Amino acid sequence: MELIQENVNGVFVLKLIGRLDASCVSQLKNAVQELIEAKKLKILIDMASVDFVDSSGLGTLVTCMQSVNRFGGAFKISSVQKNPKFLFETTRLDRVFELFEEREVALNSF
Amino acid sequence: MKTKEIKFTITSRLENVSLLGAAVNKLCSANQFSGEDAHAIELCVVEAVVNSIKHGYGGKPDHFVDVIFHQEPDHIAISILDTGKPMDPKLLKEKKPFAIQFEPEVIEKIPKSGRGLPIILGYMDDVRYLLKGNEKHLILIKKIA
Repeated sequence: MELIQENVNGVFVLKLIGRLDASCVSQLKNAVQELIEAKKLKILIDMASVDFVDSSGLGTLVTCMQSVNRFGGAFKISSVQKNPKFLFETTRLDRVFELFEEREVALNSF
Repeated sequence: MKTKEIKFTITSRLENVSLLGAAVNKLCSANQFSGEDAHAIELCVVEAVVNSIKHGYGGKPDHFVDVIFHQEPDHIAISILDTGKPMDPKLLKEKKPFAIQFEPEVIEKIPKSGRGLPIILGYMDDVRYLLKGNEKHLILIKKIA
């Protein structure tokens, strides 16, 4: 998985590219942890280019959200593709995360 | 149509799992499964193989995981074999398809793990677990519509 970080008017966007699976979850966890330590607590995960998510990926998103919440931040997710979105729904995690269809709408929601 | 079979073997490294997933996805697509179903079956195989590596072999990288894809006239059966620590067979009966219990409002208590087997049970038509000597076989079955 490739991870690109951007700062869009104070919202830190982590754009993920590829698969979010057990082999690469520590990369996302570390990136979010670094943002928390730098007190950059408005975080958007852009998943437009993620075509596969497994349960380890879901669990890591839960961990990241819990960590950001603990510090009073906001953790949101945008542009989840069809197959990963179905997984969010079947595991009921669509009721947990703030999910946005479009990145721009998500950015404006912070 | 006669039964056909192909076997893939990886060493127990998480970075190898996506190779198996891609192969299974292609085989499913070639067996009349929709793109969504092929993706779901790939996900189930990935979950099973990751469980073998993490829980069976404790994350140690120098073991092997076999995936055997059986093509039958009306269904496919995918066997995941390893020789690591066995799974408690009771888990197959105890876990519910897709569901792990949590309250969406209580963010701090949402489980971080434990979704792999419920996902497999949710998507597959039948799941069996066999112990043969020191080999463990998790068999995932999906009917061809």
